[in-house]
Amino acid sequence: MSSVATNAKSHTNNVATPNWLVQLIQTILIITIFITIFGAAISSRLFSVIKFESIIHEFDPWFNFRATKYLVSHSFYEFLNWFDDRTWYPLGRVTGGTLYPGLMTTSAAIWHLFRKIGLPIDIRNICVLFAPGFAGITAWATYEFTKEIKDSSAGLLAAAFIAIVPGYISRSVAGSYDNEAIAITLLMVTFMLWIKAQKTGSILYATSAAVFYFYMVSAWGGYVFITNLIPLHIFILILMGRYNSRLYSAYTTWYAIGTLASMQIPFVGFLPIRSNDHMAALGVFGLIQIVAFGNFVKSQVPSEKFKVIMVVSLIIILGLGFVGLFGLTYFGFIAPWTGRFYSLWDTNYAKIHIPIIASVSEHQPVAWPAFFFDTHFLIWLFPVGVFLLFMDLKDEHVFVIAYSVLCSYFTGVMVRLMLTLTPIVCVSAAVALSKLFDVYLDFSDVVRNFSHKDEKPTWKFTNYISRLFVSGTFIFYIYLFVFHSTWVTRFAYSSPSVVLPSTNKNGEPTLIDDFREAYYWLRMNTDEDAKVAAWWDYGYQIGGMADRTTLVDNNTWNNTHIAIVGKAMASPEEVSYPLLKEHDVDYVLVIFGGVLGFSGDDINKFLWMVRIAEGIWPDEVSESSFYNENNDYRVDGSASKAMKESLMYKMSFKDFPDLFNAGQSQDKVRGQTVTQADVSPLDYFEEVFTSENWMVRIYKLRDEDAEGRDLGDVGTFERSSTKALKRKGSKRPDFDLRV
Amino acid sequence: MSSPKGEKVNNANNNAVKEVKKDKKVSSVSEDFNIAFANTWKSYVKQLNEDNRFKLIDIFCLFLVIIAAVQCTFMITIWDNFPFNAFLSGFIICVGQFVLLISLRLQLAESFAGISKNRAFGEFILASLILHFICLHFIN
Amino acid sequence: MRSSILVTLVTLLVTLVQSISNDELLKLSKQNSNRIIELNDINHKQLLGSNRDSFLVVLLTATAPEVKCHVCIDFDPSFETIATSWFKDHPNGQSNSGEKSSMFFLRADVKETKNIPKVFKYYKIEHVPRVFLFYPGGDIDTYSIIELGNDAGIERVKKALARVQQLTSITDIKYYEPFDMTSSALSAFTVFCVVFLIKKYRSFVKKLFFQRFIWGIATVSFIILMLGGHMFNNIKKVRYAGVDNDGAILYFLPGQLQSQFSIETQIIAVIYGILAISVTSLTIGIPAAKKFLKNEKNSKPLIAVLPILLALLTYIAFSGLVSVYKIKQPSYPFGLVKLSSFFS
Repeated sequence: MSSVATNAKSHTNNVATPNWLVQLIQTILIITIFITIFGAAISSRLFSVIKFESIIHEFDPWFNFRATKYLVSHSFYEFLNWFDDRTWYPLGRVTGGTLYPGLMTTSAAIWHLFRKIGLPIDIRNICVLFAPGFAGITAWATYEFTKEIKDSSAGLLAAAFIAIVPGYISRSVAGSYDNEAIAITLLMVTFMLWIKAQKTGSILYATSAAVFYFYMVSAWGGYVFITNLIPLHIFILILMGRYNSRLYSAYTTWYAIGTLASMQIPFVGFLPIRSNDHMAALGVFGLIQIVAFGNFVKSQVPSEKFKVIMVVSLIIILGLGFVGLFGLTYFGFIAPWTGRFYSLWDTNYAKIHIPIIASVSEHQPVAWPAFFFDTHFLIWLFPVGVFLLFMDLKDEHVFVIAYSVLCSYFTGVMVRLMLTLTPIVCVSAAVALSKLFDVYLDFSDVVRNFSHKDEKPTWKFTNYISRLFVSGTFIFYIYLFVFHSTWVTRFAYSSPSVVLPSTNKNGEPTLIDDFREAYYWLRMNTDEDAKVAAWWDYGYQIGGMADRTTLVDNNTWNNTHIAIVGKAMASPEEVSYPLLKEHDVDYVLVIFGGVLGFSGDDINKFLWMVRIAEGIWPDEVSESSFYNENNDYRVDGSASKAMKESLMYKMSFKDFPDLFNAGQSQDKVRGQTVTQADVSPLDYFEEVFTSENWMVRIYKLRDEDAEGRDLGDVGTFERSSTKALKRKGSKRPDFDLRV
Repeated sequence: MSSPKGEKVNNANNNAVKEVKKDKKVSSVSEDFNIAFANTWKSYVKQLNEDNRFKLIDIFCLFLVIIAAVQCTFMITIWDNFPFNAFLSGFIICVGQFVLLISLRLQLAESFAGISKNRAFGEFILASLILHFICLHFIN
Repeated sequence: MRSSILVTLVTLLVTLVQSISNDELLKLSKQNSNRIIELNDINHKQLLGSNRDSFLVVLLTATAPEVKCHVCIDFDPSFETIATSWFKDHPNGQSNSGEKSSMFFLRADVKETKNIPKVFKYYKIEHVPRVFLFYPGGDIDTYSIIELGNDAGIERVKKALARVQQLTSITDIKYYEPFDMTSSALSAFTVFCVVFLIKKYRSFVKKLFFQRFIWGIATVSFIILMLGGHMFNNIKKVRYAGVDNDGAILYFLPGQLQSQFSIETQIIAVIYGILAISVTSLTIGIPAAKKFLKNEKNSKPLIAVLPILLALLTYIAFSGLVSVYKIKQPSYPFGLVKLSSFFS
């Protein structure tokens, strides 16, 4: 951008023609618009920082943050060989080989850069503000991309849309330090370079596309989308009979360098030549060699004869290729398609074969309101744009169309792919809108017609009015879109979920900070090597905030290990205690939302723990025993025996009825009254910490009895002897707070 | 209605005609192939003689194909691909360099709009350097 | 206490007096094509409380739409298939496993909410569907409940059947999924017709195949279908439409952003379609019309008015979309019809 500007400036010095003046003004305008777009993109993502504070959000970002801190304090090679013994105790995790290092490497590079130029910034702030910063770059890449598709006015619209569209903001607000934050930027840059390469046939652009493809591979597992989309683009073009040498040089260069480079990432390894997900790209690579050769032959042979030759050789080649692929897969040289990929095509596959994929809410199908919520009026301009591109149908338009069709299908199946759909929605809607504005917002003939008045002026006038009306309504929609986006960003996508917003009884906003309170307690009051057992959702947060060793975390690579924790939570304490002791557990942490009405607590997730444990030990844990005789999942007096005896139940509700006057101890999430009679005492575990609003409760495993008695017997004995010694009333939380 | 005998004769006739046609087709296809190859080869040789650069590129390409083939046969004969990354980088660099050369060749034969032949050569050098760098990194 | 003694006495009396043979049950079951004996207020005590040699599998369900019991509606055909499968293998209802191992299927259904069968009151049913298994003998109060679990479709049936097998120790219960001949015949016929037509009008089809316009419309329709949440209906197997508390039909599942009825997809697709058509005609239709009508004398007013009409159509469709969206998310603050809210 700046080079264009300087170019224009130097020219104005030489010849002061009005033409250059116009160009200069245009450039200045574009720069101004871009500065505003950057401003809008970044500032709308700062809601979370303003409403809460500069903090890392949710779960996965906490791991990324921890990994980044490790990278900053260690060397890059140490990072790649990092074996993390503080998670998945006692197995540990080969972290360096099982993560996508792009995100951490980038932020570490930024950190070092800022230090070099004398601006030492806390790594946390870099991580928090990482996503908004890259959103600005995404806007620029989208501009360049759309410019190649239509022209710069459509590009500016697209950039403005992507800057504030909620579908993209959802994963890139400040603090959302996740792989997707950088991945979408890289996706757009790769596509932009690809379109340029495909248009010009330049080896340079193809190489840069490959390099950015490598960057993308290093940052996000969704790179497979690019791996399949670009070959598809080429394949369709070949089918349409649009092959030319430019396509050859662009595609083969991209594929050769991109594939080789992608194998440098340890987590990807030899997948690009082994897994079926990548075979389409290889197939097209082979095909384009043949087509190139055929093209050369074609130019020498009369076309009539060439047709026969082509058909014959095509059949032979296709047959051979198919047999080859089948054979290689059969003999195990190529891995079959991965389950996630299958679940995209056969929508019932995941449900039957891989429940852990089906259970994740990100993999659920999308209902229509979500599309509208995430893109507002762009969603109905999107098909229009696709149709208008169909009417032009240049080579690069084929890419946009293929992208739109594929991605709209995949997004319908899996909600997390909304993120990849959003850019193309913006591009396509911008194309439609700018075509509309080309027709209706062009008032240049007003000036021109001022001089000669030959026609009836009334119709001329109504013509202007109608154009004004049409463009007016659409400008109004854009205006509305801005409001919508701001509203959605503010209310739906800016919550860190570590700190929860609430209002107290006076209606003033307060923050519920139980998570950090508890994690801080762990950090300060427990042994550095203490092992904490909690459900896997909180693994990354415990690792990141409390810096304690966990049994399981959000990198759900070992189902059995997760089932161990599930079984411990679902079993009676005399069963759980030895199981947890075996794994050297010192503390058990549960999330309880009954006081506050926080619905994402462990009791609500409990059935998943039971199910996963049942998958491994069907004889010892059974889901149906956690329903009462009416087939209901309850926590009050009518709860099933297994439920009341489970460690999770006892830990969650311990002393809960004492908080309230008799008969009023209602669980605010489930709306059921839990009485003292329902909650039997804990003998093997000892409560050591409960956070202010009872959201986090931490229990310590009691030491084994000095006299060698069973802890259960000790408890019964003590209760019978010292009945009078009642627990001193715990500090009552503020009951008016609600989530 | 014709007599059954007549039908049979008709049928036989048809079959004969079909067979003849088939023969013709097969022969014409192979003939076509022959002509096509002859034509292509002729123009290829002509192209080579016109410009020495093409000769150079094609010799290089042939060289790469031979190296790739040698590596493959070696891997198959010892029936072990143990440092798989070393084999892969050796093989892929051949393929990569080959396609880069072909891309350059296509541009030299008929330069793309907006890219001069000299620029194409420069881009080729840059891409080759990147390719070699990655391969060196991969080979360990 | 006293009443329960009374009930036991009465049932005892009934049991003593009445007994029902397998043949009679078989006869009753043959009255229905699906081989299920329907329980009603008159026969239920006699059927369940009589002395007999067979197992009875009883489904207590409520398929009335007002009850909004999806599982009932879902499970009802499965239960019928279970019964027909059983009688397909065992025409007499008698298992091969040995003596006292015949089995019959009964059902009591709440078809209207006003008219609840007495058997529901007798067993104090609060949750439907319930599957009871009665043992040979004749005690009306001795039964096991077969859990239907949380799975759907065939999984649920399999689990329930496994439980029945376990409790009755009848081993040869099979489940034949109904095979729909008509649909496969229909699809074969359609394929045949399509191939025939293509063959016949080859040149026309070829021309059609190379029509960019057709491809464009097909692609856009596909995209619109996807944006309308078609895959959601497909995967989650949602209901077509709903019923509210007053019995009126609901076209939109109110207040639910993450869920929908399948009719919503159709409505939304139509709205998107209208919007797409009007914007497309604004963008390429109007300029084309202008070109086409260049030499016409009276084209000027048309060209001036048509865009306004199309823009109005767009506006109306869009405000319709937003108001529909407001049903899904009542707290959504921006409505198009109430423009004043923006400028105040």
